[in-house]
Amino acid sequence: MSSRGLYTAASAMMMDMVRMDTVANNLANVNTTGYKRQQTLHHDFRTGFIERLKNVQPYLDSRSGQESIEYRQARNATLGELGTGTVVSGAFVGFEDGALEDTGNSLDLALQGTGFFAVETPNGVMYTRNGAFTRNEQGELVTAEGFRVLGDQGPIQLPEEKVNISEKGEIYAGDQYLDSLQRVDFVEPWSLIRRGSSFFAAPSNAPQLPPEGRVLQGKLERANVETAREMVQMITALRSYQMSQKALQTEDEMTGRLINDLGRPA
Amino acid sequence: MMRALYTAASGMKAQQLNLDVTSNNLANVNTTGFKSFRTEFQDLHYQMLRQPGSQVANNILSPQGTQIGMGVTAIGTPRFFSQGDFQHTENPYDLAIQGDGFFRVVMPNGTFAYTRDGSFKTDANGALVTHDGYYVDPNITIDQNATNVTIGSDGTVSQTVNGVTSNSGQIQLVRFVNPVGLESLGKNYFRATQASGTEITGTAGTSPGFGALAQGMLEMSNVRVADEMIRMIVSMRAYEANSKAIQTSDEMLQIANNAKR
Repeated sequence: MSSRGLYTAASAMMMDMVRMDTVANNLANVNTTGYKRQQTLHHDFRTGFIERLKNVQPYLDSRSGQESIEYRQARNATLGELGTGTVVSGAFVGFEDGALEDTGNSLDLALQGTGFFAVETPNGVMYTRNGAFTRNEQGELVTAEGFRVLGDQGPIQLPEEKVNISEKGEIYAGDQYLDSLQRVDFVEPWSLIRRGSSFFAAPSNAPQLPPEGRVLQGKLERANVETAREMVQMITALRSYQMSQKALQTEDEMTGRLINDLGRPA
Repeated sequence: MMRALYTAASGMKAQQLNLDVTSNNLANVNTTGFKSFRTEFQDLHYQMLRQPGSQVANNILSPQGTQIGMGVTAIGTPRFFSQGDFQHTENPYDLAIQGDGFFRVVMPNGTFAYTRDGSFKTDANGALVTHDGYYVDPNITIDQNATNVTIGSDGTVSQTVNGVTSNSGQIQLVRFVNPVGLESLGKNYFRATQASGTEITGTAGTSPGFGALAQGMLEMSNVRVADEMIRMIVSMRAYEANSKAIQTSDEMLQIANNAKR
């Protein structure tokens, strides 16, 4: 079958679907505390060369013992490049800060700038930007699921009274220093794996940076999804999908003509 | 079928819940001692199409993976236990707590319930009861001939009968390590759970953090109408955006179906 275009168009349609899936996930999480938007990246498949078909049999020149000049010329008769479609190469995570919402709740923490809070989960230490913390029945600082938030000295035991948390994450009860929140900053935050529930997992030995993000008490970081950008992405995905479908249909029609009309006796 | 359809549907469901919570906050804007709720969301699981760090060519690792999210879910509706505003009523049995404490009352089944609603009354025998007739614990009894009932900031109740002032008990407060973990029973009552921890008893005014009592005052709800309005607008617009995602996914599926004529 010579209709390469069918597969090229189909690859574009599949890519647009993934793009749409990502947009939908961003929009679904537009109100999720600490959510970071995603955007798909795509690149073209390897381009191929089209060559002219010529009815020349490969034969060796009787004198030189090499391929004949005629055959070499025919073999090198390249018409040009032909792309063979597109593929999703990755999903980029936009780590820019989300808007801050003032909640006044002393255990609501937001990180301004880069970095993550470290949380002890049953699946190992995970990282999150969602600082909607609370305390558990033992007075420890925990996430909404009850996973313990880690300080420099492990889980953080809170006193009964309200605590003050400095921009560097130092926790004070009155004048008494208790512990510091772990702030973890990665050299390559895009290599983190999203685990859902606002958690990111880091590959082992992921290089870290000295933390720079400022901890803000009584605030929460909203999702950094911008509805307008997502709408544009959505329209682009839809229209590109539509165009690829038209290309596919045209290719189909041409093949149909080839089969049904070309061979018909006049 | 498309993931986006279900993803966007989860978004719409989440925003609907958000609006439910907001409406309940607004409905209770004038409820004594009401503490407002908020909805907490989290992203759902991710489908891994390509692992970050996977080999794309000889010794070249992909710097980022491809992970497709599956939407959003509500993780909880925690209450926000900030202080509500005070309303002056001049009713001697109206009490407001200026701090983190709760009143303890006895339910008809003998278990304890906790409330911030201090609009107490006396029953036929002079016992201090809530608006539902539940006894304040420990019991406080007001003499039927008492003329002047004073409740101090530490909860001490004194009454004057026939010109003689006497002390008739002290209202105790309780608090919880994690008040967010309390179970709401409705009618302004809470019940202790494993998440809240067991009650810690203390004296108003003196034990740290419990707060002082104010007689003749009621604590109004801590619902901030402007905040709720903003939440309503945000959830409405988010709902709209997600419905657009569903429409678009639907259109894409239609286009896919029309590819074959």
